[in-house]
Parts: sequence; C-alpha cells; structure tokens
Amino acid sequence: MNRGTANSVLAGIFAVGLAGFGFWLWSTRETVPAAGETGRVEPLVAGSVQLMFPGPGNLLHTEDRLLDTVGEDGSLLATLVETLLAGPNTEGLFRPFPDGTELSSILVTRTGTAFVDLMSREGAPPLSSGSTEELLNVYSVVNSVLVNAPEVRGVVLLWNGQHRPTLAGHVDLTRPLILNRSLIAASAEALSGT
Amino acid sequence: MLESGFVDAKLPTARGPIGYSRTAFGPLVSLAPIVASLGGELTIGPLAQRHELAVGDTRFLFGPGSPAVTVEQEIDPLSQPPERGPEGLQVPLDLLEMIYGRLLGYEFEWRLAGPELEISRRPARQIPLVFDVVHLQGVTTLVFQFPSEPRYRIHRASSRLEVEMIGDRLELASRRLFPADDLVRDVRLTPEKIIIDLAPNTEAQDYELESPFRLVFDVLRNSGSAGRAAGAVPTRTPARSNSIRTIVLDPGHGGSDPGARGPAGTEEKGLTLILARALRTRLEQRFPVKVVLTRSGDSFLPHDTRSALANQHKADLFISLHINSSRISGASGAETYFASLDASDERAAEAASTENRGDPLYDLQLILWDLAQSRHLAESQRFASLVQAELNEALSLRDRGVKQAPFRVLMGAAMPAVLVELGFLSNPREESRLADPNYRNQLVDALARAVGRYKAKIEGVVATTEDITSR
Repeated sequence: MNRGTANSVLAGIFAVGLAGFGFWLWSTRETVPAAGETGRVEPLVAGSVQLMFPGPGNLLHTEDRLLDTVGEDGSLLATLVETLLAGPNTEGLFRPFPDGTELSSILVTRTGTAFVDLMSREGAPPLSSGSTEELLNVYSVVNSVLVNAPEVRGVVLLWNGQHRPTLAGHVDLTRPLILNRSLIAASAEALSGT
Repeated sequence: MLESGFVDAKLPTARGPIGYSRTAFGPLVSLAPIVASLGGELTIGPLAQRHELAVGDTRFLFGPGSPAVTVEQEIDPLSQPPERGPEGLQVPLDLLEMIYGRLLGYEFEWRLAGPELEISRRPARQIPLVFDVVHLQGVTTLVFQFPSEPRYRIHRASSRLEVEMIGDRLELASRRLFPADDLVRDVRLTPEKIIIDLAPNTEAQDYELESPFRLVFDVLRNSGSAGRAAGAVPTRTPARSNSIRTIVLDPGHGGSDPGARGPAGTEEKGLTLILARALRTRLEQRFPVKVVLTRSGDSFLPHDTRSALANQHKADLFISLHINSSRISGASGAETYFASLDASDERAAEAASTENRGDPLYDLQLILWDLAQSRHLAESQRFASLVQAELNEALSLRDRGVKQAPFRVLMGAAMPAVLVELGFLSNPREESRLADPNYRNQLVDALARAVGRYKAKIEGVVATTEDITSR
C-alpha cells in the first residue's frame, strides 16, 4: 500500500469514526445528560434543609436537618439525598426506601432537571409495593430535592442507572416529576393518623 | 433484537429480499421497498426522525422509537416502535396493515420458515348486508349490519355520504333501501358502496357497534354551524358517541410483578385478577357492553401496553384495579385516582417552545401520545367521583377520597380512565376481608353500580335502581 492509499484509508477510518461518534452523541441527546450538559451540581448552600419522610396519614412529614458536608460526588444536593435515604430522626417517620438503597449519582442539567440515580446495593430491582407506598417513596425524594433547590425544576428518578417506567408499578417515571404539595402534611398535623 | 437479515418478500409487483429484523414483539420490515411496490409518497425529515407517508388523501406520521402513528388528527398505538435499519426505517406489520390494509385492501402474511413475507390483495368477499332504520325523537338512525367487520372508508361531500368497501362487495336483494323522510332523502346500494343522500341542513354522526358488527349513522338537524369539511375522510376511528359500549378492565400487576403483598401472603396481582373477572361478568350481565381484560392470566404486561390495549379496543372507559399497601399498619380504606398531568404539561410546554430539537413535529407526536389522557381528565374525574361514592356507600370502608397522581397506566389511555385502590393488603383486617368472596362481591357490585350511573349520565337517560343493579 503506497502512502497516498494509506492516508486515504486512515482518513476514511477517521471519517467513519467521527460520524459514528456524532451519531452516538445525537442518539443519546435526550437520555441521561452528558457531562457537558450539567451546568450546575452545587445548587445548595450549607445550612438547614427540610427533608420529607413518609409517615402518619400516609403523608410526607418535614424534618429540619443541618447539611454541612458534601456528598461522595462533592455536591450538597447529593448529601441531601444521602441523608434522606439514611432515614429520619423523628419517631413515627420512615426512610423512603429499604435499607441497602443508596444514591449512585445526581446530575442537574442546565435546564434544571435533576437526574437522581438510586441503586440497590445488591443490584436488585425496586421492591413491589402499593401505590400509596410508592407515591410516598418517590415524592420523598422529589419533594425533598425541589423544596431545597429552587433552581431544580423537575426530578427524574433512575434505578441502577436505568430509566424505568415506574418503580413499583404505578408512578410514572418517564418524565420529570414536579413538587407534589398534596402529599405534604400540614406542619400542625398530628403524627397519629392512618 | 432477536435476529436481522433479509426476508424473501413476495410483493404484488416483484419478488426479492428486503431487510428485516425480529424482536420479541414480532418482525420489523424495511418500509421503502414496500412503498415502492404498493404506492404512496414517503417524506423523511432532515434528521430521519419524522416519516410522513401519504397514501391517497391520508397522511401517516411515524418515526423510529415512537410506539404510535398519527393519522390525520388521531393517534393509534403500534405493537412496537419502528427502528432504523440498513435500508432505512423498518416498521412493524401492524403499521403496514393500518396503511395498506385498511386503505387499499392488502394482506400481509409473515412466515417464519425462510422467513418469508407475502403481500397480496385480499380476495373480494360477497358481504350480505342487513339494513335497518329507526326514527326517534328527531333522529333517523341508519343501521348497516355485517356478518363480520368489513374494511371500509367513508367519503363525505356536502349532503352525500358514501361508504366505500375496501376489497369486498356488498350483496343485497334490493338496491334501493330507504323511503325518504325529513332527514334522509335516499339510501341505495351498489356492490362497491352504500350511498346516503341527506336532506339539507342535516348532519350525520357515524359509529360502530359490535357483536354483530354494525355501522350506524345518526342523522339529525345540524345547529347551523359549518359541518365537517368536505372530501374523503377515512373512518379509522369512529367518532366517539355519547355512550359506553366497551369497557377495558385492567387487573393491576401480574407475572413477575406481584404488587403489594399482605401479612398472610396474599398477593395483589391475584386479587386484582379475581376482581376483574367478577366485574367483567357482572357488567356484561347488567349492561349491553363489551368488557375486555388487559390480562386474563398471571402474566406481566407493561403499563403502556395496558392503555394501548384500551385504545386498540376503542374503549369508552378504562378501569385499573389495584389493592394498596402502606407501612402505616392501620392504613385502611378505598381511594380512586385519575391522572395528574402537571409534570407532563410542563414537559409539553417546554418541548413546544424549544426550537432546536431537530424535529418539533416528532416531539409533538410523542407528547400527544403521552398525553392521550389529557383530553379526558374532566370525565375521568367525574367517573372517579362516582366510583368513590359507590364504594363509600356500600362498604364500611374509610373514605380516602378521589385523588390525582401521575400513574403511568392512565397516561396513554385515550378515554376516561381511573385507578381504583380497593383496600390495603398491608392491613391484616382488610387482607382477611378481601379473601372473603362475599366481600369481594360487594366491591364488584359497587364498581358495577358506578359504571351504571356513569353510563346513564353519559347516555343522558335517567337511571333507575333497576337499570343499575340488575339487567
């Protein structure tokens, strides 16, 4: 093979590779955001935050917590979700997901969508549950993120890095979820309802 | 994808290999060579997302990754989304059937051996037609009864309607069918079509009835407003009439997804199936309705397939049955949900306002599919209120009320749709009650009464207790 032919072959390989990369970039444009699309991963400032835990009345109850450390990925928003998953301090409230559920990653796009990727330590699928339990679990995360990070406009939940239509058969996870006020208990609400 | 390659295709004008791939949902075949053989004008968007196929006056919009096709103003689900292949877009056979089968009378036969695809014109059948007419309260109702569902399309031109048979021929002893009245001047028949001449200032609404198949036209005085545009209007989806004829019941969960599980081990998926079967029987006993279950056994069914089934059956009502669970040990009672689309609305607005997405029409198509429920929210809420009222009335359950939530199974349903939680399996007392057939009968009766009340409201008749509780 002479030099000209070799150059042509190399140029062809490069062009095919470039086209393939371009196609890959294009085909993944609406899934999980690429690194370049995440404009801000530090939407919070250290201080008091409000976490929402499932509890009496099948509602979300607010617990004030101090957030002064950064999460494993270096963001305060990650710390917020990790603290939420670790469970409440208040008796009568529940952690939103079973023991062994961890935050894998959290990314916020420039348009204000937070992708919260939860994972099971064992790689298991999310547990089956009724719709009430699932609503509380999902919105515990969604509401906690949204009330503390006003720059976030919607939350997409992933599980083990994958988009899922639902976690347990009910709540639509195919689109960003927004704040659900109907699930939040009034501050004066007694912790005794069912 | 299970396999891909070339299928030996027998087309009306040629025979040769065309690209295909096979997934768990069936084959996908290359569209371009089929369009070249059967006709139509295919236009592909700049990003190869939006595909528009015009056959005659009818335009079909579809694209890779979208499990739906837009036909004029309507959206129909597909068995699986089209995908890109080496020869361009590969599409499922039901899309081809929708385009070339309904419009032009072609049949598509896929044979696994080979594999082989044969496309041919369906041989013409002689269809005996039974005609009936009813005059009632200023409406002339024309009923054309067929032994099985024919392929047809309706053309409307000023005061004339023509029902054109596709691939079949009509058979009737007399060609003249109808003595004129104030609303309909004439109804006559040729082997290829039914011709209906309307009196001036009238309009005709068409719809289908099943078992046996009937094509019905209600002719009435119009209100003076402009009628439907003249020209060929393919009857893909009959205009929705104000009645409840088909109900789809969705037993929640199934197969690998057990749903909630009670302390004694009762699984939600089994209970919802038992309740759905009983409700189907009750509804069919009491009302002249067709009831379809999304699953009849212990099988897993994706959410979108459940609502797509309801759409495919052109259901007038969709009821998803569930049993709840909570970590609050004493949680009890029933609640009825209809869809909440807040998040969807935001997404739709965002997509509609974004100019740099490459192909906004394609996005809009997906959003329309996603938001099929949005047009029916008011009716869904109305039906949900009736369901909850009946459950409250009949059972000593705690009233948890009518609620809204973004439940996936409701999103794609293009009809009034609710999700009913009939108690808490996590509550030992309610688990025990749900195991009692007498208690389940009470639940089923309450749901049937709610359907009866809703049906009566929709159909504008005064429901009596007898209408609702017995046949």
